[in-house]
Amino acid sequence: MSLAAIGAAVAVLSAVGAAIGIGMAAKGGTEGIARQPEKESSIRSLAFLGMVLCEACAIYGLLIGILLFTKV
Amino acid sequence: MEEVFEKVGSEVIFSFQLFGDTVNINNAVFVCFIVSIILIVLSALLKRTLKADNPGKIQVCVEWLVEIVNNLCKTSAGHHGKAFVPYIGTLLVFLGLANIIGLLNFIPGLHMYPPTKDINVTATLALISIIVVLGAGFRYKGLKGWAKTLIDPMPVVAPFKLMEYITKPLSLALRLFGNVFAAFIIMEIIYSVVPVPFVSSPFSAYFDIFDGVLQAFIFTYLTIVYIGEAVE
Repeated sequence: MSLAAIGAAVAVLSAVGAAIGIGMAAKGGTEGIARQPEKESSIRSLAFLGMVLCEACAIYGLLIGILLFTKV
Repeated sequence: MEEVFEKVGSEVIFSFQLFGDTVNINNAVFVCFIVSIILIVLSALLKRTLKADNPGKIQVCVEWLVEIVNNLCKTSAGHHGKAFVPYIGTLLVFLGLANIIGLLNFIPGLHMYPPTKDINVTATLALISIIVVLGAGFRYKGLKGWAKTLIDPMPVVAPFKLMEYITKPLSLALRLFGNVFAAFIIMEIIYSVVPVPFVSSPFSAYFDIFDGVLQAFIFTYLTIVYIGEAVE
């Protein structure tokens, strides 16, 4: 049990990378919109897509954490 | 905590014998059928009340949804996009309803868990999507044109481009499954730790409604983006 719990905790560390990625996507999106406000809608959807792809990595970590914790 | 993890797998609702094998119908399949029936009945009812002039409130909402799907297909897949509107629209409404159908659980005795928390459902949907992507490539470029895209900058990249057809559905399936499954587990833990409705409702609004609709939209958006890549 204890080793599986440590493994689950380590797996959730993937949120660190995802957080950095989401921050960078948001930064790029805001900068792009500030530079070219007329392209707002397409920039927003692209930034959104980048954030979502980053968020999926955090979800993978969470999933592995849950699976380890339940030992499915 | 233990009873939370008992709900992780899909429970078998009923089983029957077919050619000597036992066929188990589990909760996910059942809820998928319920969602399909709801959608078919709703669309049949809405179709009867469509009016060209003086549209009702519901018709305006439906037209707004159709307009979203039309624009999505047009911006991502160009002038070929119109052919994919039915598939993309069906995927959006099916996933949208399937992800938030867990809200019906307030009725006691009703075990309506979102079917997308079963990885088999999301894997099937991702496989259908990648078959549509491949078919769109074949249909609009021909077999030769599709093979030419594999060696686009140079022939060295061909294995990686082929591998994309495995990683794309894998990531589609795992993203949807992971999000819905994690939201489901978190909500069950919240329900078991704090059994007060007013405390858990904001979490439910985020994890059940917002996250479910968002993930349904993301699945359809990525599908149409992949289709757009294949047909351009």
